[in-house]
Amino acid sequence: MSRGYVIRSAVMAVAFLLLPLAVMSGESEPDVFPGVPGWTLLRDSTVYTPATLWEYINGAADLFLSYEFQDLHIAYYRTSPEIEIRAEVYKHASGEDAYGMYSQERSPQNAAVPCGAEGYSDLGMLNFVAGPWYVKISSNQTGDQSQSGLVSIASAIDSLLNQPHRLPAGFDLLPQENRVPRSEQYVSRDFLGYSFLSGAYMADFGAGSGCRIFVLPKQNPAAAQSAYDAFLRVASSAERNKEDVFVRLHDPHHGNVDLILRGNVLAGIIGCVDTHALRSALLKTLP
Amino acid sequence: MHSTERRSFLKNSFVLASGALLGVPAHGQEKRSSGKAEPGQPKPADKKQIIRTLGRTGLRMPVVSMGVMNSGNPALVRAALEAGMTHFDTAHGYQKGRNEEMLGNVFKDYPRDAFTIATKVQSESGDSPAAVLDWLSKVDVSLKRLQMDSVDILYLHSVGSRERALAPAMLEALQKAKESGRTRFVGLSTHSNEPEVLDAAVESGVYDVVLTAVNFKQDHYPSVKAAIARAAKAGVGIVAMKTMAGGYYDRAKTLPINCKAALKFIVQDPHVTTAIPGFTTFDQLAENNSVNYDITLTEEERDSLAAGSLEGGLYCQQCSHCVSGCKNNVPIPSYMRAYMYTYGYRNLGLAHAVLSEIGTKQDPCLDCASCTAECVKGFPVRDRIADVRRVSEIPEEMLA
Ligand code: SF4
Ligand code: SF4
Repeated sequence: MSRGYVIRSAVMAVAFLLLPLAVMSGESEPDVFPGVPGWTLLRDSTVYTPATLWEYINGAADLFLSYEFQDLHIAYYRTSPEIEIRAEVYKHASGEDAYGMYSQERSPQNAAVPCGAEGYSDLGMLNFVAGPWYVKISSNQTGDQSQSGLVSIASAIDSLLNQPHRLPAGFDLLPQENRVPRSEQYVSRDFLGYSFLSGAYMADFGAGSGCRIFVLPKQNPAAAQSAYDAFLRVASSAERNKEDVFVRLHDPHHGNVDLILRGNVLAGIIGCVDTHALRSALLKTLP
Repeated sequence: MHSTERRSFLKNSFVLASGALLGVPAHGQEKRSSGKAEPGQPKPADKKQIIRTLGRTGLRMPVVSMGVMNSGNPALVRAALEAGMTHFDTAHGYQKGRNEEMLGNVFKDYPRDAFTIATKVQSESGDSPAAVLDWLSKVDVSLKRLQMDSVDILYLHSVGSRERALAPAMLEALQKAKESGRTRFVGLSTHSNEPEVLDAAVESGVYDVVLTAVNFKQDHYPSVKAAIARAAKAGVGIVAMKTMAGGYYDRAKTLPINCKAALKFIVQDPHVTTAIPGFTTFDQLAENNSVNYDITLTEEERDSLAAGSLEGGLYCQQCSHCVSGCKNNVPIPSYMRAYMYTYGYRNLGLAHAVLSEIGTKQDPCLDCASCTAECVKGFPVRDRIADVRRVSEIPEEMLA
């Protein structure tokens, strides 16, 4: 194989990867909109990419981009008399990113729906996350027919996407006991406002207590150690009792944090006065 | 001459020659300190905050404020307040309302005159009486989330044309919002056709403030700047957004923009009252807040922007549009990247590395009668390839 051929192939591959998605043929994109009995499907031909998402959702696009947004497909489902439901399917680079963006927008007050890894609904809307897809379904009409339409369309899209109905694996490192349902969050970068804390899985524990546990699984122990050291550097004080596996540091912006380093995982408890029970629970789930 | 000295002499000569060749423009600023704050100490103690008045609103605020769109972190908002920032910008749609709720929870602990707040509400129902009601009901939802009776600035969100800026129903909605006390002042936000929209805002006589996209990288920056000046002279307050132009020059995010320099560049315009960068870390807060005390571009900052703003001149978008037009399948984006590293970043090491990846030191265009590759930015790709290819001939040890 000639060197020129290799270079040319590489260039073509790069060129292909860089082609805006909107230019690519729809054939290469998996279909995310199923037919739903009783509803007419109308696909929007515009596919939004990281470069154009702001045209659709303005400044809100920035946060989507920080969760590695890849593309947005939109379709409308119509039925008579005059009910229209809009389905927006946001694809992110990974299940973690999609869940992260979903959890940034989730309202704790809304009712859970059994769709995808997690979902919720309110009057005129239903959002869920399935693998790398964050799906938002909405309607300006809020009658019974529209509300049941949201559920049927969501279920059909969920079936088509065919993703496991479970949270991203990083959440397995958080205790189950006392975990507040649907309080989980994945923060891709700048967790707690620190650039050295990325890829954080977090949840609330004990409703109304303000206690949160976070875990940051890193690629290797050295990376976890480096994040741990950086956290200690910003702390105004840090103390550890004899034989204690946690260090209690005082963070200037967030108060006390009980921090622990276990292998490639950095974990902590934040916002809590008495951390005793949470420490024990966390020790059981960490490696 | 010692060999190390000789290497650096040769390197510097090449870089100086490159700069001279380009005629990188200076912005007429004297060289002064950057005023960089230490992390955790966002408020430089020895300097005075630069405060400006927002047009006819009379609101006074530092030149850098907080765009809250990217942060759901209440501690960061508190830290910004404590660092001396006073103006905060959110929107009805950010995080599906969670952003406004978070701000409401923070601000309830502060006196109402300790900050000014702006939110933006989009109208999706056209230009009808129903649109007025729909928009006002969304405003009420925003106020409830913010736990406030009134915001300081209420923007009609995302206005992209004169027609939209002057839509009678929306002008009526804005006036109603003001008369009913939902807001002290009204404005619009725009990130397309900014000059047309800015002029329409003046023409309306309704808008007190315009929140506009403006940055050093915009191809039409001169016309945006001129429209900003016209609006400011008419008493419209100007708030700048997207000053950092996305933070990178390229889609692959390999070429970061000097964000502090980009921010300074925009607030150096006295017609811009404040800018609302969307920072997410305490370090970024400290860096952005340092601009509140010193807007002077350092020489290094000036150079980095100048290289990037030469009428769009150096920065290849890596879009690959040109590739299909080249009969020899030359990796033009890579050559253009090397060109950027050479003349924009003045980093011959990076340029050399990119050229090494291409794998040939020969001019790939030698056997080509005329260039058929079209660059979307109008770069003379053939000339630039011929020029930058020479960097591959510099021995690597000279670049160490
Ligand atoms: S001159 Fe233009 S078309 Fe010809 S090889 Fe060079 S880049 Fe390609
Ligand atoms: S078309 Fe122009 S901007 Fe795009 S990759 Fe080619 S040289 Fe760069």
